[in-house]
Amino acid sequence: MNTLSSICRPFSPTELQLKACTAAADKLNVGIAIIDSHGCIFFWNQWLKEKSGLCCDEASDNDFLTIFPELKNSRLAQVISDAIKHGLPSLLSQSLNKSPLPLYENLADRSQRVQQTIYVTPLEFQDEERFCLIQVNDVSIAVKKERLLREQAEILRDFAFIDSLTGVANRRKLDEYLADEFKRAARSNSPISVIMADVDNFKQFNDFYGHSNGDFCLQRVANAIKAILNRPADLVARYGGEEFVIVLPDTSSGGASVLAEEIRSHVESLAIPHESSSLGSHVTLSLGVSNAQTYVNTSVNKLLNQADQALYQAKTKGRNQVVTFQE
Amino acid sequence: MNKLSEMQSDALLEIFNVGVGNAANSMSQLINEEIQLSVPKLQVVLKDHAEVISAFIRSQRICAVSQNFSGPLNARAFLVFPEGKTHEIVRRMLGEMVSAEELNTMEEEALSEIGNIVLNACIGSMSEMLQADFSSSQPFYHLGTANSILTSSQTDDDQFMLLLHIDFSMPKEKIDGYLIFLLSMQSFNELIKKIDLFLSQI
Repeated sequence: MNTLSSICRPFSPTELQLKACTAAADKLNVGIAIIDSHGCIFFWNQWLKEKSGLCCDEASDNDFLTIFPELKNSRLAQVISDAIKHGLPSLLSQSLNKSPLPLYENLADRSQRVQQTIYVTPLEFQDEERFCLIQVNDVSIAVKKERLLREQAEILRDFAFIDSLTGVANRRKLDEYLADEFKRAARSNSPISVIMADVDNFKQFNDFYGHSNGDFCLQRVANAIKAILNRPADLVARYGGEEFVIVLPDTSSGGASVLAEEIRSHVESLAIPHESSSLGSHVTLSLGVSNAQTYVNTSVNKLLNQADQALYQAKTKGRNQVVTFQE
Repeated sequence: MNKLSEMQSDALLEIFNVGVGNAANSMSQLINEEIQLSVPKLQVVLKDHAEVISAFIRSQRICAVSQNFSGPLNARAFLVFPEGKTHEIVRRMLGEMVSAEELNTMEEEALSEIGNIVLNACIGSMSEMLQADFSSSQPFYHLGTANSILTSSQTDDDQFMLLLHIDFSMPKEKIDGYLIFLLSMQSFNELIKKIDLFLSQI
């Protein structure tokens, strides 16, 4: 009777069982090699034959490192010796070991090796020398999938920080960026400035020209602001409706005012028609500038509030102008 | 008997320091960057260690790589890092961006390999210096609370925990982790016997 206990009885398999095991090893979808205690290849399954081009006669009884001279002094050679001499099992991950074995999906094209995760396990036979089992998994597909996933995640993350209408940063990105830059400025005791810009009489623009023209107007204003900023650390974000906030690290109050004036005049020079404006016939901006220089009793919110107050003053003083916050 | 004498404790520390020193060499070769490992401190903790665990591992979640080994004494060995620190190690070793969330499968495997190198080196050093042959399982990756990981892989027999602080130094970065060995009373006593034998021979 072939009960479980008789199958698992320690090593007296019939010839048929041995044949079955060899046949199974050859059908496996992983690479299986057995190395004997002298470092010679004892068994080399069909999967490895197909991927290496090395047939059984060439492989069997040959010294592993003579067949693969590139592996001398490699980590794979080391862990095989650890397994045989000290009985220690090892894992060679794909990320830390770039394809140790010369295995190819297509032997005619040897430009790219199969990506491998390799398990090296000691094989103990009672009262016999220790052998070593090498199991090679092809992880090429998994590696490719994870790379794709990572790329998609990065794209999605970028999208999560972009204002879909104007293509500049959104409010979430602004909050994160301004908090980081403010902390950095405080640490290095360097100035940081903020400009808050608002399209004048934008409600009237929308009422007169319609919302799709309003959207187009905001896109042109956003692009105009972007065109003026030329340092990589400067950031423009859509703050709300027709309001934009510009973060200027390492910028004094004077420098920020000059830049704000450049933005104002650039937008005016675009000459976007605005017949219902109270100011003339073109789209204009009002801008408020605030600055942090010393970092006592100040905060990101205070900086934004001060820019907002300056912007309010610019509006009340007649719009289409820059006001810098004064304590 | 559940304590180690100062001599015994020093001997064990030496064995582990030789082990992690070898591991550091292997890892430095693997990534072409100098890594230093040392085990400055060792404690023996009794079975009811839940409180101790929460006290010494401040981070709620940990990453661990474990291997079971058996021979004259049996133990479950863990290399443990706070979850966030694991990302730093993997990032440094892989030299690429690692997402802020969980490690992906390939990164988990890389960490398993790092754990495997450290644990094998410790087992190798123990086997050499205590003249004992051990066999061991392949490494296994865990992520979760210290409590759940250590208790889930613990049997009723495991009454002792050998707790070692491990310093993982890379250029411009130092990360604290732990090596933990869970042992039964019988295996703990066997360990002490082996250490005494080792001490009597030097």
